[in-house]
Amino acid sequence: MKDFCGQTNRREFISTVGGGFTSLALAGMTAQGKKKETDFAPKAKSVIFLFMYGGPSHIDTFDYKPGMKGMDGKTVKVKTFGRGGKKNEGRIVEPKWNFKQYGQCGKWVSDLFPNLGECVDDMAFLHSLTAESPIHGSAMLKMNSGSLISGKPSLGSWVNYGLGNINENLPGYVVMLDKTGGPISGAKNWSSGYMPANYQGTVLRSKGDPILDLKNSRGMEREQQYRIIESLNQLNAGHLSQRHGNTNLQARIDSYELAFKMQSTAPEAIDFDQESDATKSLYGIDQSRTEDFGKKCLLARRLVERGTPFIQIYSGGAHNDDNWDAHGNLENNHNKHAGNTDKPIAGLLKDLKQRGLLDETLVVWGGEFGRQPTAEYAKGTGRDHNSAGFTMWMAGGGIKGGVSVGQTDELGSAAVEKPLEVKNVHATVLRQLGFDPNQLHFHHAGLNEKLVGVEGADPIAEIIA
Amino acid sequence: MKPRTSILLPLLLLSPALFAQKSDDNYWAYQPLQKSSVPAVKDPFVRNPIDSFILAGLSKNGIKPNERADRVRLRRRLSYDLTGLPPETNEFSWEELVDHTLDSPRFGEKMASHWLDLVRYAETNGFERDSAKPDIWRYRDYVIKSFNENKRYDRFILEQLAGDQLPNKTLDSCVATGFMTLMQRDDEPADRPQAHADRISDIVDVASEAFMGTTMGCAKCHDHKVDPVSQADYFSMMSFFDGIRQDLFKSANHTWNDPEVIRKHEEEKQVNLGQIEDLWKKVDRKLLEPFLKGSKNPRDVTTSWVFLPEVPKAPGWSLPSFDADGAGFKKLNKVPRNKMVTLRSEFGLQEIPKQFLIYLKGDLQHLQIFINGAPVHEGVIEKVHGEIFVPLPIEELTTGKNVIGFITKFNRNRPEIRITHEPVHDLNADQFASIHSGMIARVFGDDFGSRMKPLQQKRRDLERPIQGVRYHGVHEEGQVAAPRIHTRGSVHAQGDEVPVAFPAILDFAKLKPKRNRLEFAKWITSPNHPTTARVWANRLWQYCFGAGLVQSSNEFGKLGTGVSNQKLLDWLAGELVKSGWDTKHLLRLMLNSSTYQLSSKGMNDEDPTNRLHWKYSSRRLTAEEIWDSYHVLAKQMEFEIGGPPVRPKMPDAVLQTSSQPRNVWRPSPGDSANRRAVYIHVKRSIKLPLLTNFDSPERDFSCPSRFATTVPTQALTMLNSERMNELSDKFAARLSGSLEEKIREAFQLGTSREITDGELEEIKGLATDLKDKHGVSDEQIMPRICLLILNLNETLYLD
Repeated sequence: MKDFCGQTNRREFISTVGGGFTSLALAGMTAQGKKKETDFAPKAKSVIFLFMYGGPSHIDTFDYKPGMKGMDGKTVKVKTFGRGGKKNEGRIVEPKWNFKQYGQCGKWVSDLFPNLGECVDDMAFLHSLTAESPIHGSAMLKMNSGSLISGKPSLGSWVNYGLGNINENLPGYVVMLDKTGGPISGAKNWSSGYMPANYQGTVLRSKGDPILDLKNSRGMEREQQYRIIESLNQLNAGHLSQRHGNTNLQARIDSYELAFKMQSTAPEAIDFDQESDATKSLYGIDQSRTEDFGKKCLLARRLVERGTPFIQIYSGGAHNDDNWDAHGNLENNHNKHAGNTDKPIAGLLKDLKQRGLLDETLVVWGGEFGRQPTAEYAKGTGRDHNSAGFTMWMAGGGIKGGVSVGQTDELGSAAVEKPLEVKNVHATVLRQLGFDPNQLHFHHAGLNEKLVGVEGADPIAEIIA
Repeated sequence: MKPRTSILLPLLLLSPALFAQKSDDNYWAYQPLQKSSVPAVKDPFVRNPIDSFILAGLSKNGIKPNERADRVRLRRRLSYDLTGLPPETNEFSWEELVDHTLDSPRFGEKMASHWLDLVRYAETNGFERDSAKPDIWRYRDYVIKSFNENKRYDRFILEQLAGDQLPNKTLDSCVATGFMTLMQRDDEPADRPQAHADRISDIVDVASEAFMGTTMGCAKCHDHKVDPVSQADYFSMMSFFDGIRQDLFKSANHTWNDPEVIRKHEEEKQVNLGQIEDLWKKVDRKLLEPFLKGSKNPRDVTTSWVFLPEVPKAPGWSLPSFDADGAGFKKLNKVPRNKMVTLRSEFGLQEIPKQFLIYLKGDLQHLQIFINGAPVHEGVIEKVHGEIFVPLPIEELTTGKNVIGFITKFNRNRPEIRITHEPVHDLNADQFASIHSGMIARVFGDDFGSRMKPLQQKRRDLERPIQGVRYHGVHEEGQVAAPRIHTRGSVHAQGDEVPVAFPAILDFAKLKPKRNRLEFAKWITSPNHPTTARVWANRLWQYCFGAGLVQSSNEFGKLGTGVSNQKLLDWLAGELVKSGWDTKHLLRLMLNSSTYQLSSKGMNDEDPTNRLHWKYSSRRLTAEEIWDSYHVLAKQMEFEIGGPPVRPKMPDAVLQTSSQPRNVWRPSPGDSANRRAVYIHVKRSIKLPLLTNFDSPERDFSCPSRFATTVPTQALTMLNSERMNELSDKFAARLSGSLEEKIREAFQLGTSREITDGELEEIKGLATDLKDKHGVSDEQIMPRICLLILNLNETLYLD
């Protein structure tokens, strides 16, 4: 109980006060400014989570399994659990791409990622991830919120809550979706759950109107709108003068000023005109297939420069082969999605590095799970889901480069050495931002809820510089 | 005393455990209701006992209550708190107005939005498909209806927990069990037994929080660290719900047939049958004998059907092939279903029979019959007892070869068609009704036929199954295993068996319940239950005053915020039970108190958060109130109670966040979605931005009270969204008169008060600038001003 009574910081204040008075607390925060103390000196200021929705195959990307060469078509005894249920044997689909060694560390990376290969000395590979569920819906929620069911705040909400961040010039939690659509469960993946709505993710588009309702739907010009806000402020000020001390009303007056500012800061953030051709080319924006994801990565860097704490970019959307969910033809699927993202992601890492931003920006890459070593169907190369062992990687933000942690078995069917859980990834993210993941909590329904759950989780020490 | 209070109160907010530290098993919330005597306070402030309790508390702390709020503020406050809508003008006195407003059908809709938060009401299952919970909206309507009827609160809870097990169950009580189906449901869980257990424990968690104000969730994994709730208590609670059938969560596979309706139906059938029998008595049935003797099955004229792939052009379609021997035709085996088909057959006759009938089985949608090329029958014949006899004229028959043709449409692919001249059954009176009226007329004359025909028609109508009401509820399956602890909440780590029992701390009488939900429900709704009445009285307080006497209204235990005026709470709870769990009675008391009618003005350092109620706590409108008000102001609201949910237009950019952008949210046609927000489809994976931005909660867990956040993205929605601009247009369109008159009217509608001269000047100045400096056309001036009025703090806040 000690920590519960002892804390008097703003974070605690919000969590304790159930309702009715919350906006008071939030309004108070506006007045007090937003930075708050962390548990440790933070290594990272921002997080970019590159979500490979659908589940990329680890053994075809970063988890090198040379022993599988020549095993194609062989039926082996191996326990698998995927969408198609539990099986005890299956037909091997050997890794479909060649692997090469890259960098000082000599990391083996498949031909799907020739550009990322050049960055391996900045990347820490986690080869022994496990997720509780091999089903998209629940596994997505798990990766985003630590829970198989919805209603819990997502990682980005926790980060903004921890930082006491409120959306000012730009939202503090930005989500960029694939052009084919959102992931399964849609907004549940960036929900603030039981936390207040100001911690929910805001969907940002890299072209057109970046934020919902940023532009007036009737095309009202800025000057005209400002004139209306002026009158609004005037009338609201008169109203407030008879209700002196009501901070909610003041906060709402302020929010119009902030919204007005956001109308210029947000388009400015997505305006790439200032960027050189070399930069654009670095992200692959000059090539049609990488243009879309490249823009999102460049936008992420621009948001990092503007202090946005949490950015999530989805590679893949909707269903089936619109994302990494390669049930049918593995080669077509992964060639497509890796081909769309390899250059942009490598560009992002290189650009952050050359601008000295990589040290304070934590980049996370991964899907909701990996894929099986065996074929899903009697014919073809498609692989079913695999949550018993898969790969993620992190870079920047105080993460050691060129290291690899954990291993799957020789087929990549399950984690065998230092199995990691999703909550270890979450704990690492929070730790790099300066929080003790086992302390950061929000009081809800009689529990001090934590992102890492009741039992807690440790950050992955091996990859922390 | 004074300086201490100011330090203590904020501390109470921050560290609820202060309340807990000094207590043990005598913790107040788990003790039986205390009989509170009303403090003897003589003061004009005191209108009813509530004021005595409040004034006593204030006096002890040397705080004076505010003066009464003005009439305009009060009426606005009352209207929003009870109906969620802007006030209407009328001349009622305050007490009349309270009664009038409580009687409004809008009251149930407003209370329902509170309740639906509490029970995490949603209309879909979440996860990959986020599929619908069919007909679950009947539960929402049940809630609205219950509040409007002022259903006893104990009955309301009883029905939601065990309405299907009540001896006199009704449609309402069965629909109420929808409460237990509202959780998220993964239709492909990685771990099925665990998913089932989690769904059952979700019911336990929500029932504990919503009805008993006790958070049990943590006892699922370990004994509660602060409150005396053990893991055994938790799994004992679960045992009452374990028998709920798992597949119930899939669909609305419940149909309610009202026993009264069934009884009436049977009665009508008897009457009809009596009438038919009476009629038969008037004629000589023997005339029918040629049709009735013989075996049970019609004696067939031997035929061999052929099926023609193409429908020939009627009439006379069979003529060209009359002499043909059927060569090239396929043998009839399967006839395509629900498609027009053509059948043809030949048969021989040695003599012309006295009767000639067609006997058919199957549901026909179309029937034309030809004999030797002549059309002899056209029209659909209703099936009765699964059989149809169609008498045909004998004039077209010849001795020797005959050809009979059908153009027909069947719903089964093996139709049964026979030709007979020797029918059929020994018919009873009931079956007489199935004889084709044409034949009856032929045998007994047109007059008789025309009297029989309507009775036969009626008979056929009565034969149709009664349309029951489909709903989404639960029932039990037979056997369930003895309850056991799930270690760390895992169903795969079964621990010790636990007794079927109520949680020890709340079980005043150490009962030995049977393992069924009805026992559980009766226990919760017993007047002796320590928390149920307190919890509901506290919620009603929260709905009137913005925050409960126990602010953490789902959490009366030691982790909650504690109670600010226990004597008052116990008095209210006692009053609730005494009045027969009368919700409106309690609300009437609260609303008629001076405490409710205090002005919201001023600050008091002694009690900055107003826990002692020296003023009314100003509040922002809720998401639903904003939606509803704006649609009312724009005259775009269809007030109509209940029915399937509606889907207002979703912005494209929001649709695009779904994994199924094109199918996720099909908007309701036309203006049919212009209804109160409580009727908007609650889909777990997608929501209207206007609602989410203003803190409409995720309906995944019980939400006892909402946040009220203020962020710039709200302002963007309020100024820029298509819907807001549409509503401003419509708002402007309803106004009449000169610009000034329009401004006055719009301001009055938005804020419920007259505009001041200064405010009028400000807005007129805006109008001038919009026109002169920004080139806004005359027609567009008023919509802009309406947009401004919809954005005013005064429009959005109550005080």
